[in-house]
Amino acid sequence: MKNILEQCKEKAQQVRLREDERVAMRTFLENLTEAHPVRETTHDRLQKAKKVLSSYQFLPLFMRRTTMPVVLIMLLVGGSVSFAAQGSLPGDALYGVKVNFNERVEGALSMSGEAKANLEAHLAERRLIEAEKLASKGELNSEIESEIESRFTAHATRVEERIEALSKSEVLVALDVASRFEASLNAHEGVLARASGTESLNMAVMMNEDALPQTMQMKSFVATDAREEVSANVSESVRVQAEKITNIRANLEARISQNASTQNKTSAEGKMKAAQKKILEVRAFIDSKTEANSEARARADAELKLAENAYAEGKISFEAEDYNEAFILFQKSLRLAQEAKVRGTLRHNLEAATDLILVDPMPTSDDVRVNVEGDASIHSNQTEINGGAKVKGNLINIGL
Amino acid sequence: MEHSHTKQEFLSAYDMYADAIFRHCFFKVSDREVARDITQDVFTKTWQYLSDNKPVLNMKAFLYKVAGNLVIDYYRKRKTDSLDLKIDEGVQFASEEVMGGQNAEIGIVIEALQKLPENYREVMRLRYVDDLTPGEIAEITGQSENAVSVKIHRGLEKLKHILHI
Repeated sequence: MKNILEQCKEKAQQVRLREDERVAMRTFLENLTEAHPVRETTHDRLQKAKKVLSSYQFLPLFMRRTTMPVVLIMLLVGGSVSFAAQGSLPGDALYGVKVNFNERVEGALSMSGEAKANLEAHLAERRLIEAEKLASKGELNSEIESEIESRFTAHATRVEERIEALSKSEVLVALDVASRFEASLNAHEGVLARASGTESLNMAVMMNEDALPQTMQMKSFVATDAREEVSANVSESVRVQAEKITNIRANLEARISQNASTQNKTSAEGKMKAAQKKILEVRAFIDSKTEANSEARARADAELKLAENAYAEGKISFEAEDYNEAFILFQKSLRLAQEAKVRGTLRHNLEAATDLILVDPMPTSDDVRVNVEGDASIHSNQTEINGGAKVKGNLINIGL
Repeated sequence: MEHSHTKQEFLSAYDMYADAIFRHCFFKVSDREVARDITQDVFTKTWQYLSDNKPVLNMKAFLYKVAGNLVIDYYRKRKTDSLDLKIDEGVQFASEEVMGGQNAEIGIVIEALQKLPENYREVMRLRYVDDLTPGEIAEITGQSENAVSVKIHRGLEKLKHILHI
């Protein structure tokens, strides 16, 4: 059967056009295609436009019909996620995007050794600011705190490595980076120490003690003590790193002093100008951010005074033609001015945060009183505990 | 640019499939002249379609589809008797011409193909006269390849039954 069908196929194959029929039909069709050419459609015109555009190197990816929507979505979604992540804090959903994506992009974008070192220093500082913000909100638990601490230490270690690498070829640049990082660490160390110290506790209690029953005050002490330990760990890390960087900076300065040839009048002069400029900048900053005769102004003035003193000493050395000494003193002046600015900024930001917290409609002594009255005498103990818990949260918020 | 590309594809499709389409039509209309005219129409219509910038994914299947439609049109125009009867007559005539009386057995098989029920006949003919694969037949008839294979298998059984073998 199969065989017969195969033969059937073979036989059928013999049915075909004669050669003359074939050629005649082909000629007819060729004429037809010329008489009725393929119509140019919108699609064709698009294709032509695309070909012109794709001669520019940067366009094809965006112009391709398939990739354009993807690129647009990436730009829109990616851009906004990344932007939204920028202000996130540890514990937020977008914090991972911030540290793993945004900051890596920043790293990829900084090219020179100096830029990379400065970026690491900046990121280390950012971790500290996060810690401070969380502490001021009362959200700094030990888990987040250890994450911040490990990230901070990693950044700080990389700063040191970068400085070490830089010091081999550009010792002056290395000193610059070290000095700036030191200023930043010193300023933050002060703030964190204050946050975990008794100062904030006193402040918190002062603000509330009139309104609170004795038991609640006791509770607030316990709560603040716990937080003290938490931010004390970060504060300790900062202290350790600050010491390290101070040593590094001192070593760099020693190297510069020993090697007189690298140190001449010109570089001392350069440093002098930089310090002078910085002092003026910080002066303007203090004037704009603090109110005259306020405590903040007084503190900032005192801090900047240190920088000005160092500058004056440097000037004396400079005139005595001790350019090595002058260079180091101007460097010190610059560092102190930077530190004053960081401290000023932190104080300013924290004050703003504290103001915000104070105007928040949070459970105040009035609420507690209402509770007590509402529940009458039967559950008074219970109420007190509830009230205590509320106030505990409140106190942590005001802590900074 | 676009035109010459399409034209090139079209003419090479003609070179490749003209005989097959002619054969397909010939076994359906049983008239050499008519089959030749229909073949030319098939390619003319296909070019009109292509020149309108409409896409053709499978040229071979497309040509067989157009051919099938034109054969139906041809019979409709003649308006004589039923389509089936005409096809039957045509094939008898065609088989005689092709075989030239040399192989009576094959003539009988081709006749037997015509006796199959309508839904088996087309598939069996595409398979054993036009020598198309089940995949190509599926494309032309709009059935799944699986359904085509089943039809071929059952068609063979029925053919055996008709031929008493």
